[in-house]
Amino acid sequence: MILSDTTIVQPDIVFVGADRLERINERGIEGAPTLVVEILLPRTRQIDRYIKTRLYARPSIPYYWMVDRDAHGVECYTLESSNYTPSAWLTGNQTLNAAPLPDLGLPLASLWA
Amino acid sequence: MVMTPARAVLTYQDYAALPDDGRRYEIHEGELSVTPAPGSKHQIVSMRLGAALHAYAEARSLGIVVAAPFDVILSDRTIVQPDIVFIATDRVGRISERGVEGAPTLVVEILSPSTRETDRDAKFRLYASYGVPWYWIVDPDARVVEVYRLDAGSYVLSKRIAGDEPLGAEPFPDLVLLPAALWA
Repeated sequence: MILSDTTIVQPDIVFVGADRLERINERGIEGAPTLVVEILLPRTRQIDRYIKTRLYARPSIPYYWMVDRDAHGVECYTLESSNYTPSAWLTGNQTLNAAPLPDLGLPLASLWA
Repeated sequence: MVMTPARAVLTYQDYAALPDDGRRYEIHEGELSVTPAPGSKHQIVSMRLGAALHAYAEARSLGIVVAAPFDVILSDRTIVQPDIVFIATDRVGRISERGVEGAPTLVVEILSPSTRETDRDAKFRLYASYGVPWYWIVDPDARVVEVYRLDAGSYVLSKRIAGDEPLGAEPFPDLVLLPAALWA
């Protein structure tokens, strides 16, 4: 994901909405995708939570989800005036339905290995 | 074939200390193999095939499908990161915190210009020598899926799927997936 010539990242999962597909080229995606998902790991937790939150807000990635494997939770953020605000914080037996995929219907419990 | 490296033989300990810089590091019989991060076409095909295999295996409780980066620790000096791995129920006990310890049921490699030679040559021999029962080679440029079955220690081409033929292949004989849906 090439956000600029000096900011290149490899998120765990990226969703590129149909309106942004032309941003995909041979190298990856040039510019902001629709959604970035990071799976928090002990060694990347701080980076994903603090550094990447600022990194993804700058090029205006509209949605950022963080999946916390240890806490069995998913935090969904929406970009609003250059800051991510929480739109959903899911745990337990809840179903993952959050922008930009409001009809996803993914049972959270099915994620954990 | 047993490779005889002239330099130091690398082990899992060396592998675990390698940087997380986006490139794919592997250790083949003690020798380091480095390939650049895959391009867009490769990743799109990998996700589509991985998602289809995952949905199929999950619905039938056949086992676990995992996509790279995921370590397949074939021995202390052979650690690989295939694009997609399927571990059937009878082998799920081999999954540890580190990855899978020993041969999974199926390994899928998606060819890209930088891995074409390795996938067809070195990996072919490695997977056979460690007894991986099934090996699929997916060629997004030629739009072909080749299915290899391990037979007496070497791979035999069991099926070559091209065009509009549905992808039903061992170890998923009832899988109905149109290869056309894979290509980016």
